[in-house]
Parts: sequence; structure tokens; C-alpha cells
Amino acid sequence: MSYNSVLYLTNIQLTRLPFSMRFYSSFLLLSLLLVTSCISDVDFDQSTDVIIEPVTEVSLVFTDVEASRFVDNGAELQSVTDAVDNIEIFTNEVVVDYLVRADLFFEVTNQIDRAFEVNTIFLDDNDQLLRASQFSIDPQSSITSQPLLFTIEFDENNINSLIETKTIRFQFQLLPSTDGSTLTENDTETISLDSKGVFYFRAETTE
Amino acid sequence: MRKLSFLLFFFTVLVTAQNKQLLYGFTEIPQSTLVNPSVDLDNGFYVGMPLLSHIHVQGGSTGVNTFDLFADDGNTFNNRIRQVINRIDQNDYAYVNQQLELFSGGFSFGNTIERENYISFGIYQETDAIAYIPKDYLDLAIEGNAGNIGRPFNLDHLKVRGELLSVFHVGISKKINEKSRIGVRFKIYSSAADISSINNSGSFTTVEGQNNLLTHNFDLDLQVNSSGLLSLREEYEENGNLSNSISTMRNKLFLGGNLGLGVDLGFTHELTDQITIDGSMLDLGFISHTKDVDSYAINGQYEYEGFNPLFPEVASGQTAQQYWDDVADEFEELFEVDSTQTSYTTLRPLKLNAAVRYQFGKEKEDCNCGRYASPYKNDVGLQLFAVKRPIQFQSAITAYYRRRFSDHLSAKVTYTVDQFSSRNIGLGFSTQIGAVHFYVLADHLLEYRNLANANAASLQLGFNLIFDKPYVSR
Repeated sequence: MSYNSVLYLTNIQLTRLPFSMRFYSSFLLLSLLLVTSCISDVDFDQSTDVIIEPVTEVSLVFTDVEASRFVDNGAELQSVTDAVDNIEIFTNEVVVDYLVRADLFFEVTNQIDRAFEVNTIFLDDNDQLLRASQFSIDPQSSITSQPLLFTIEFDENNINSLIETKTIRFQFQLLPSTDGSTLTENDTETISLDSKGVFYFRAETTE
Repeated sequence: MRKLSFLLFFFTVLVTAQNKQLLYGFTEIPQSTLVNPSVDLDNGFYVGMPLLSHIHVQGGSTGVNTFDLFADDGNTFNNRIRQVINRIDQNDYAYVNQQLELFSGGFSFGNTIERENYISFGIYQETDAIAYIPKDYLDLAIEGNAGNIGRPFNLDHLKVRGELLSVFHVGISKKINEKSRIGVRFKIYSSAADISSINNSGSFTTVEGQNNLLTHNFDLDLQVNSSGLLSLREEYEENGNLSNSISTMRNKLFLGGNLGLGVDLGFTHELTDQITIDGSMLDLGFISHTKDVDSYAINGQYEYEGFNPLFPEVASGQTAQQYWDDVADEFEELFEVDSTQTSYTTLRPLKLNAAVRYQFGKEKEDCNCGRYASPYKNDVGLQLFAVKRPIQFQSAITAYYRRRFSDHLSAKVTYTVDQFSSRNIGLGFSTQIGAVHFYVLADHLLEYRNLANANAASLQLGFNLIFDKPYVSR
């Protein structure tokens, strides 16, 4: 029976009954409503099964290296290297506990008429090698084509090698030319690199 | 986690937004003067039973109820959370209000035998809290920024306010001519605890970058003010319990807290013998928080597009390490929390009521007989309610029918449409035997069949001793 009809019936009764009965029946009705209220078809234990999986994209390294930088006092350098030490971001609890996968995307545009190798090296606290990636860049690769795309993937099996990383070293290695030509301090072409990391987190509530 | 579920349940069920549609205009109940100070209480004097004269709890949430989240329907909890988050927005909120009258009383006075003016006074304790759904924060936490390049995550979605206070009040209802009454109630607020984080702004946006693939724009302007909580925290950190603070809390509720002033205004006007209009404005007031204040702010802008190795073999200047260190410093500064103890002022949530009523069903001729002056047994009407909330006024409209069955029993049925529900039915009774008066008012009755489906609920009850005006003969 719906409560509308209960209300309707009660109204009729209320007008006909003597005072005391009216009085009690009305309270009985309201009390009944309040007491018989219930919570059904819900399962609070479900809140233990929450899984959230946010994906964040973060800018990483970017650089634009002129050809002249590979020349020092007239002589070609074999490589240029730069590094970041004491990286603390990966010691953050959220990262340690919830980071499950990371894809690092690199875009390289090479205007210089020379081939390069781009090395990215991940070292731990004791400078032990955790991971190294090498990408080969053809001479002037982007003049005729799109920027070259490279990815370094850390999946569930090796994500720890990223989490343990304290130092990241970037190296542009200049490969010898095929015709014997060399770069000069007046060369203005550049090799440039842009990058971002896509970080996959997974947080699950546990009992 | 279980605690969290019950907390969620409490917020989603137990508790329409301070709308006392059942009490408003229910003049057999002395506490109706708290929602319109101009009402004619039509008794000689009354005394509320200490601690029992007005017990009120109400609360609700828009956009989501317990059933939405915890239904046992085979769907996964995760999917339901996602469905709920997709459906709700930053204008949805959860709300709870509780009032407990410690003491109240009142008496009629005047030069005529009818004693047509009334003074009432009392003390009540009130808890009021509202939290808007921080939609963009939730989206960012659940989805991350990856699928949201170009979308600003708005930080103004964080809006929370809560307070625990007591109110000392005295009011007067005065007949100004044959047709009209006005009323005013003066209030002193004594705030024991307050927390508010309302005026947040800024955003976090990730866009396609100029120098790198992505640029992250941080624009943070966040602030939370609190009073009465610092001492609690300090004591807890020191002793591991709150025994002293609970006694100081009591002092704070009795004018030892942060003080404020307010006023309620009301009017009643008879258009004809049977048609009346009335209205009120409640809690037009402020509280000045100067004691035990603890405030935090995060403020800053930063544009981050990565870090730039400069290969020091061939160039002087910054290395990647230096660049990285600078970036780290910038971030540290950006998220640095400034702590202050500067005083601040809060406004109480302003409430507006208005009604038009039609009385009918004459029970008796004008005869100074029976407990109540009005000769009509029934009235129907429309009531409007609005409350000022951090984002906007929230309103409700109520149609009601009230009937006086005898001098001993009256009842009121309401049908209310508001943000929480379009089918809120409420029912209230007021009874008096001798001097002993009792009332109970409850709404969202349809939802009592399954509380989990309720977006809101409220309950008010109380005992008073009411004494008739001397001329009343029965």
C-alpha cells in the first residue's frame, strides 16, 4: 500500500475518531513510518573494491643543439653529454606505490647533415646502470620526413628500474661522416629533441 | 574503509537545505517564531523543555545518494563511481544541519486583553556544514591530465564550509495595526569551531607546448580559514586526547568563542479575513573570527615546459642540473603553504521565507472561546524558501495543507520541490494536552521506504509547556 493511500485513510479516520484515538493513531502512523524505514539492496562492502587508474602526461627534457657546439677549437667533439643527478621525484610515495607503467616519448628533428646516436642512460644511487636506450638519427632526417619518434617503455616488469633512477644522462653522439667532411664553428643547423612522459598509475583499495 | 562508507552514508542520507517548510507558519508550535519572528503565537506564555524543546537534524546531497553508489545490482562499484562522477557537477553538494535548543521561552503582552505582542528568547546550538563536489579535482585524480590536454582543471570547485556555534536570541513580535504584524529577533553568535574554504580560484592546464611537446600552466590561489580548531589539534598532538578541549568547547559555546551579531526580520499581513501573506529574512549576520585562528594559503603561478640540457662541454652557462634545480625550486615555491593567524569574518547563511495562505472552514463564530483566536480550521498555501549558499541562492517551493482537528491536535502536510527531490512529502503533528505540548515533523516520507534512495531527509521534534492566555475559557 502506498503511503499516499495511508495518508488518505488516516485523514478519514482522524476526523471520525474521538480525540485520544486520533491522537495516538496519528503518532502511531508517523512512528511507524520512521521505524519501518529501511535500507535495502545496498552493499557497503563494495567500497573496498575501488580502483582508480589516472594517466598523467608530463613535459620532460627539451633541447636544441647547434652544429657549432660539436666543434671545439676547430676539432669535432665525439659527443656532448648532460645529466641530472639527485632526481627525487621517483622516491615520492605515490610514485613508488602506484606507478605501474611509464612511456617516455621523444621527438628528434635533425637538420645537420650528419648521423647521430641519442643515448638516454638511467643510473641508480650508486651510478649502476639501470637502463640505456639508443636511437639512431640519420643525417638531415627531418628535411625530407617528419620528426623521428622514439619511445622508451617501462612496463610492469621493469618499472622499478625507473623508480630507482637517481640520474638521467643525455648524450648526443656524433658519428663520423661518410665523405670525410667535418662540422665548423659557423654551422648553424640544429638537432633538436622534445619529449614527454606518460605515466600510468593504479591505486586499489585493500581490505 | 567501512568507516568511510558509513560517513558517506551519513552525508548522503541522514541529513533539504535548512528549509523548515513544516515548521514555517505552524503557529501552534512556539518554535515557529524561529523561522518568522512576526508570528502571533497565540498563547499566554511558554517554556521549552530544556534540551528537548527543539531537536532538528536535516541533510542531503544533490546528484548522488547512497543507492547510486552502493546498490547491490551486479554492476561494479568502480563503474558506478564513474557514472556518478560523470553525472554530477561542481554545483552539486552535500549538506548537513543540526540544531538543539538548550532553553527557550516566551510570553505575550500588551495593553489590551488579547495581549497581542510577544517576546521570545532562548539559546540553541547549531552545526551547519556544506561541501560542494570538487568535480575537477575528482576528474584529475581519477582520469589524470592525459586525456584532457587543453582542458583547464578549475580549482574554484573546492568549496567547503562548516561551523559549530551557539545562538543567544531574543525577539519581539508586534501588532502594528488591525491587519499587520512585524517581528525582529536579535542574535548573538558564539562560534566554537569554523572552517571555510570558499574563495578559491585558479586552474591547472596542460596545453600543446612551444618549446616542448607540452606546457603545464599552474595558477594556484587556494585558501582555507579556520577558527577553534588549532587548539584542538595542538592538544591532540600533545596529549593524544581531547579531554581539555571538550570542556573549552563548552565555554566557547557559551559566549567564550568567536562572537558575531545577527538579526531576523519578519512580517505578517492579512489581505482579507481569509488570505494572509507573510515573509521572513533569517540570520542576516556575521561572525568575527579573531581567537584560535589558523589559516593556510597556497598562491602562485608557474609555467613548466620541461628542462633543458645545455651540454656544458661546448657552452658556458646553465647545465641541465642547474635547470633541474631551478625547476625544483619553482615547484617548491609554487606549492609552498603559507600559514597565517590573521582574523577573518564569515557571513551566516542568509535564509528567506515567504508565503501566501488561504484559511477556510469556519469552526466557530468569533467568540473568544477555545485556545486559538482564528475561527478557521483549515488553511492551504504556498511557501517559498531560499538560502544563500557559497555559489548561489538555493530555493524550494512548498504547497501545504494544515488542519486544526481540535484544540489538542493540529497537522500539516507539505509537498516540496527543491534541488534534492521533486516529490518531497512531509508530515507534522502538534499536540497539546493540558500544558504539555509535543510536536514532530518529518519530510521526505516517501523515501523512508528505502533510506538508501533518499537524497535528503529531515526530522524535528520537541516538548514545550504552553499556558493559555488568561481570557481563554474552555
